[in-house]
Amino acid sequence: MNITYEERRRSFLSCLYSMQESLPGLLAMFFIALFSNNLAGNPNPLTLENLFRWLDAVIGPVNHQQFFQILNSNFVWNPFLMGLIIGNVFGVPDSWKRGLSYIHKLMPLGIIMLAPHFIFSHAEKVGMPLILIAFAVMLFTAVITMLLGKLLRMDDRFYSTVAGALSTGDPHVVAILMPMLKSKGGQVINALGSILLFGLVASFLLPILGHALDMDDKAFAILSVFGIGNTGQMFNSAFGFSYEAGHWAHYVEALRHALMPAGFLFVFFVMFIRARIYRDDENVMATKAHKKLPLFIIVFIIAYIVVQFHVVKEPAHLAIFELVKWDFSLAAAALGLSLPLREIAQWGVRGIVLAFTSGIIRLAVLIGVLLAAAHFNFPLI
Amino acid sequence: MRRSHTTDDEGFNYMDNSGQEEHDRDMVGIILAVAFMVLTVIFQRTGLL
Repeated sequence: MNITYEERRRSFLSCLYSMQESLPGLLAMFFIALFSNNLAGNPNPLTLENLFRWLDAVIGPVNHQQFFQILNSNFVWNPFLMGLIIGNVFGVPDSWKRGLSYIHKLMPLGIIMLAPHFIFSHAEKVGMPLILIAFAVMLFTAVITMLLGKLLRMDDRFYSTVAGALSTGDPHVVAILMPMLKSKGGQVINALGSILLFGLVASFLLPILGHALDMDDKAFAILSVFGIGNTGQMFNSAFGFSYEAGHWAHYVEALRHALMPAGFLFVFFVMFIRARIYRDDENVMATKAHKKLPLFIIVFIIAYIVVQFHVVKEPAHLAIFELVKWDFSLAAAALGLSLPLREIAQWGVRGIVLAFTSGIIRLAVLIGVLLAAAHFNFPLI
Repeated sequence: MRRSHTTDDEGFNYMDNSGQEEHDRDMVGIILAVAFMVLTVIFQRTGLL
């Protein structure tokens, strides 16, 4: 018989369950993380990350980048992939499920600990004109993606997830937005795949367009970073254009990082306010399950403000980021295990259509701005 | 019927997160996050890191 949580609850620590109930699932997440990434303190050399690095060495560099970096392999992608394969091939034993529910503790934990990663002063070097342009393009992309998603009659949790990740230029923002927007696992992974596919195609085609438009190295670096993002993909594009553009992309990348929280918080607050306005509309689902502003978002915002005053210096920031890697590796393992492939496929190709349409509009706007700046000799960096 | 990836035979769905349980899980995550960050900063400032 199923006993409800409220019936078994003694304190807020009841959500940890008993050791006997949670240990098998926690061990499953732990071992998937251990065999996925080279995490701090993990002595295991037989990781998926090392396998990809070995394959990268066999394939050789592509535009000075490792091929699996262009595919965006990282500490979220690797354990997710391993969990997805294990879950779909072998299934998920019932004894794991209490432990796997720790994903809901790991998500707010990881999001808050990401705060020291976003330091605005790191981006000041690029200058105010570029900061303002990048900020405006990010908000424009988020708005246009949400509007197009509505036009395509997509589930609002799905299109807002695409909007957050595409506008910030970091596909892994889908994982941050999952507990914020209350997106489904299948929507999150479909959105991630759609954005990565757009980035992959764009990163190979954009250098051709850049040369056709006779863009200079700095302008093309800006176009790659803010028109594609996705780390490995923007470097693939910039280095594909020229070695100098690749170096300028490294220079302006700090700005994309610094603006990231503004992008995903913007999408969250738009959807949160919308859900409060259209309270009775059954088509409005994103953030609706939140009765009020979630406490972990408030704590994240406070932490984000505090770290701007350089409270978390190196190496404390690095130590915290290693914990974030552990946290998201464990969470991604649980997410991968939760998803039958059909749940990812059920959201169809609209995510791809949306990512490509919005992505192309963003590129067109950015190219227009960059060519105008070049025409009027306006220095962007 | 194919067994669900997320729901056990007692009806517990590990991807469900709502009500009091969600509140408690958030609280555990927040306490751990703040504790980790504060401890790391203290360790650094006292020369232990």
